[in-house]
Amino acid sequence: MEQFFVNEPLNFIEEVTGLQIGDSSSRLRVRSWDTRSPVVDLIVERLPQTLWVVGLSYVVGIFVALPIGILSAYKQYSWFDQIGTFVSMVGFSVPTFFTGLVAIIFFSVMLSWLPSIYDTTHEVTGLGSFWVQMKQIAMPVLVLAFYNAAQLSRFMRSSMLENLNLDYVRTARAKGLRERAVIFLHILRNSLIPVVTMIALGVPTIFSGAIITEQIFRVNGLGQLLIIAIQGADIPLVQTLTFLFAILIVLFNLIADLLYAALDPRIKFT
Amino acid sequence: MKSPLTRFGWVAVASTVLVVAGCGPSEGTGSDGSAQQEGDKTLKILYWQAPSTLNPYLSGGTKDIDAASLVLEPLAQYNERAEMLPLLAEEIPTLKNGGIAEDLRSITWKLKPGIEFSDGTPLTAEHVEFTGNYCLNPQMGCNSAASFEHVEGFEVGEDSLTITVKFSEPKGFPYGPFVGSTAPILNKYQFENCTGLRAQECSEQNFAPIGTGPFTVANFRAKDVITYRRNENFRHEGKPFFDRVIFKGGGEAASAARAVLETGEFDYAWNLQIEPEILAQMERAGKGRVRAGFGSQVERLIVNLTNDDPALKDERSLYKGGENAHPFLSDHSVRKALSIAIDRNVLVEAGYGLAGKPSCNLIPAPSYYASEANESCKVQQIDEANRILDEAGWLMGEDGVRVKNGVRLSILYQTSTNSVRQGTQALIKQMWQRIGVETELRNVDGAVFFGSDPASPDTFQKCFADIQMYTNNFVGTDPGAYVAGWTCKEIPGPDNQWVGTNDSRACDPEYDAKVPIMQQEANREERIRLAKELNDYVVQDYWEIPLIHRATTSAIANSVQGPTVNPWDAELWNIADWIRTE
Repeated sequence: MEQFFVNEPLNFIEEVTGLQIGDSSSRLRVRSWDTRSPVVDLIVERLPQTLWVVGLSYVVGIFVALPIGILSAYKQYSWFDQIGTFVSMVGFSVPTFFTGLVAIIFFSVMLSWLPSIYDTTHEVTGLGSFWVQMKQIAMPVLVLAFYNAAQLSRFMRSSMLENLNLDYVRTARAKGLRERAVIFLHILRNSLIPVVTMIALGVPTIFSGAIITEQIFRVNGLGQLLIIAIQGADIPLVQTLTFLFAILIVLFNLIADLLYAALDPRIKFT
Repeated sequence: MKSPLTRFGWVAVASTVLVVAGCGPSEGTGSDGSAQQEGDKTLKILYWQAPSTLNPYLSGGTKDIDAASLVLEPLAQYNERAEMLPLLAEEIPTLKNGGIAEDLRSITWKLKPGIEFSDGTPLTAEHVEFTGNYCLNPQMGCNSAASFEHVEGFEVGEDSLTITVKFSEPKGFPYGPFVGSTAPILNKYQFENCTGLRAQECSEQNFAPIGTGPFTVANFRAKDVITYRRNENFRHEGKPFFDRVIFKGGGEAASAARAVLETGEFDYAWNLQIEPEILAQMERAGKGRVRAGFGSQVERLIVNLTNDDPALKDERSLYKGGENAHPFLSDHSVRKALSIAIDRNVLVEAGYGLAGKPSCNLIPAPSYYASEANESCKVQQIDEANRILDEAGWLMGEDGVRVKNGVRLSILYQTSTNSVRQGTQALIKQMWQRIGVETELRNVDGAVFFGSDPASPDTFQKCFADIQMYTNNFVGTDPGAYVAGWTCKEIPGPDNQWVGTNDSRACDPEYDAKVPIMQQEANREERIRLAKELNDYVVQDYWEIPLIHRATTSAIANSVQGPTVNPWDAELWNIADWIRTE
């Protein structure tokens, strides 16, 4: 227990920040049964690629989804909305192992523009290597962002629709506010509340990685680590990872609740 | 009306386009831009299982042993023809050159002088002795313990370059310790504090062992990727021909094959268990070639010589001396007819492609062990099979099934669930139909069939069928232990909790007597002759009917020369000789 709740968090902080806290070398450590090395080292080694790929795809997904959701709600049943609905339905229902494979066959095999295998040892040192990094994360990010964006844009759209016909919108328009002000200051702000919660609740999934996508593109991140740990019955590793995910989920639930209060003036801490 | 939102809509579209454009075509660099930047001096290897350690004594995984073989070297290794070559040793000790003692209880190796580890420490017999004791330490749970079986101790010579391994009993084949990639030499100074229970904890050492091999570990990421640099202290001037090796793990076999054969991102992909037609299609892209390594794996039919009638209940498939014999498979002519009625070439074409070839032997390799006496089985002989059955009194019944004294030639044929095996079953059923044999097919989930639960009726050891099919092989290059598998005491039964390898329940004292003779024979030629004789004994009496000699396949980029898919040692055994030619 002490290992789990005191030693390992300390090790984790040490590994990430590089600080030395107390006598760290003689501390008992949780070791993987497969590699026989401390579990925390494995996790820290894999965090960067997971954050790069899954995190970026999440950000990209948000930036794509919000405008699409807003526009397709505002212009409900227009061609844009129809296409947007169709595309997000496709993105929502086609699994990533299929889109990933299609992307590999198209971009790597047929066009040979992009690498199909992620190089975790690649270091960004300048513009050239940054470009290489961009190219190697392009496909996994695209595939995951497609999936995330599909989900979020549907959510954004329905949330906007709910607000569009409410009385306060009519009042705002009646006051003679510019359409832009009505949309962005009034409707968007109100309809973002549930969306922001969704986004915040989704953040822990960034850390847990995208198991399938990581496997297909060989981005050996946390998701891939978890799956091979499960396959190999590497119990300490599975325990640590799931424990970490649990903490993150609790934490981001809390953050989502706090954000709620900040965004919605009707909610107050008492 | 042009609302402000339209502009916003364009922003949305534009940002989407931007994201897509970000992964659009690049000007001139091409997808292998990174590989080109690093130059042709980098070799990229892809294993779809990722290594978890570089200490082969702590892992039985092929991935780990292969990855370690770039760094750690044994005294002698096997090439792709299973010939033993001295590596760190001067020569292979034999009885003739005095390296093996007359009583077969010790073997003496001489190290090549002047070899250094990658950190500059000279290689001496102390390191070899240390490695042996490291593995023999009962507390460490050594994975290569089989290589060190019957080892009593070690003795270092006065010149520090000779080491004698002592055995507790005479060994006809004493080439276990320090031979092959499972038992390489560790650096004593590095692992001194990592013996016994501490072995597991030394991750720093286990992840970056110091060896004498062509490469050194630059960076090890467990279960992900290993980067190697060339060993500047390597004993061969100018070798290896690559400055850097990237050994990537993870994913699955099909995409690994694609990365070599279709996109050309990697130079070597290991163990491609994929349907032959998919592999052939990928190979047509022209970027790489597929090569097969034929080890000792043989897919065979096991003929049950005991009666498996369900009505027998507890005595089903139970060997009871000569009693309880199978109603028709105990007839030699039936077994022979079944064997020669099979067209093995068709089976290979349909299910194996490059990864298999017809086999008439149960010891098909190493080539010097393979008998030439049974080659006739490679041609299907339906007419001959029919003639044999007619002659033996099995006459064709009205329903197209042969009968003799009321016994119909009706076979229950079982194997594990696997698409290739079910395809083979269907083909063989058709072939047997042509000689008047009726076949009922059955398949059992692999986990159950090969799981050795003594309570389950569906295991291959129980053999509650007339014929069953699976693949078996022997470990290493020597079939000494394998031939003992067909002796009487290996018959599975309730007395031994159904553990045993003699599933056909054949028992022949003449065969049994020959096995120990072969096992204690140290003369190579004589040993080979005896192995062939034992193989022929089983094959020609049709206890087991060999079908297909199976291989593992790997993909190699066309620009790389040197790899041989070696089934007898680490696949990357000769990586120091690999070279990029384009």
